[in-house]
Order: sequence, then structure tokens, then C-alpha cells
Amino acid sequence: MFDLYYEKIFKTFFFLVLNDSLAGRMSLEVLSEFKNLEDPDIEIKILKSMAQKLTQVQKRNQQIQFTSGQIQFPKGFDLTSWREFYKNCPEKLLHPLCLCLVGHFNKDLVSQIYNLSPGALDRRLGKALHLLGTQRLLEFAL
Amino acid sequence: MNKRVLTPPDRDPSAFAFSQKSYLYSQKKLSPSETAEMKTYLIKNGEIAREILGTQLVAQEYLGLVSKISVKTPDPSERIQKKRSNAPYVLVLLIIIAAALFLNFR
Repeated sequence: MFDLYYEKIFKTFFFLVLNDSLAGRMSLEVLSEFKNLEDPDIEIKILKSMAQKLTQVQKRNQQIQFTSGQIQFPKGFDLTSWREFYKNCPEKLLHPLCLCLVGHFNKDLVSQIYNLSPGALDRRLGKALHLLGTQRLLEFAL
Repeated sequence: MNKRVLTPPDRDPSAFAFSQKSYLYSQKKLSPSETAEMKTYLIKNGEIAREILGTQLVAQEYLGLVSKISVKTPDPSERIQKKRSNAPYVLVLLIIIAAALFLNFR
């Protein structure tokens, strides 16, 4: 269970802070709060803790940093388009996108955390995807 | 029987008028000029919707690669977060202050 949640949390944090050692530290801090990862409500508890952690990260670090070597990208994966998207995307769209489509957390729980209706969450995800896709297409055109 | 149309107070009147018009369009009850206008509008919006859908698919393809990212989980020994304690720094500071006071009074 630790490995499963660690990967989900780490990926989410990494795409939100673009710093692997910071993402690793934050992930461990979140997971160290919970002794029983088999708890049926663990996912919502983790999401609450993650949302709290994200409020503490006020300034976004826009330089991609790899220091711990914890993350390995597949061939053809380009982080520069994410960085460009990340600079322009408002946080209210970025956070749900990372939680739902990068960390693959349950959408209903994410909507609960952000006090959104499922429709509003889908709308935000759609807008975020549109922004990311536009950024990708811009890079293809260049 | 007269039909009463209720509009919620917070509803945008132009949006409401549009939804009424689109309903009439679906029922083929609009005048020819209004029908033509509505058709143009729907084609234009269809194109916009297709464009948005296209960009969203591009983004989803990109995010599909994210799921292939491998993450190295830390060893069990590294999982326990060591809480940083300020005690050693406070102790050193107290020793320095005590030494300074001692030298001052001598």
C-alpha cells in the first residue's frame, strides 16, 4: 500500500512543484501522518493532507529540478510543454488536473476536497486539458 | 391551457432566450431567417467544440505518458521522517551566553 500511495502522491506533487526532492519530502510527510494505510477512508484523508500541504507551497518554483533521481521518464516524454502549461495555468485548474489525471485519485473525493460539484470539477478538468493540449499543439507547430 | 414560463432570478435572460430559441429550432417552429441564423450558429459552435475536443485529446495523450513514469520508492529506513530538533542549537547558544557573561563578570 505504501508503494502505491507513494507513487500517486509523488507524481502529483512533482507535477505541482517541479522539484523531485521537494516532492519526495512532501510525499513522505503526508504518508508519515497515517499509520494504517488499509483504512477505507485513507484516500480522502491523504487528499486533505495533500491539499493542506499545497497551501503551504505558496510560490511556484518554475525551474525543473532533479536532484534525488527518484523519477524516470519514458522515451519521448517532454517536460518543457508541461512547464509552459504550468506557468500559464491557474491553480484552480492545475490542482484538480494533477490530482485526478496525474495521481489518479478518485474524482468524487477530489470534488469533495475542493467543495465542487462533479460537473464543476469536470468543467475545470476540461479547461485544463484544453490549455495543456493547446500548449502541446503550439510546440508541434514550432 | 396557458403555459407559464418560470425564469429563476439569477438566470441570464439572453441565455434563457437562446435556450427557448434552440427549443423552437428543434421543433422546426422558427421563421426561415431565424432558422438560417441558428444553423450558422450551431455549425460555428460545432467547429469550436471539435477544436476543443481535439486539443483535449492531445493533452490526454500526453498525460498517458505520465502514467508510464516510474518512481523509485524510498527504502523503509528513509520512510521514517526524522523530526528536526532545535535542542542542540539552543544548547550551544546558552553555552556561548554563559561564557560571555562569565568573562564579563570576571
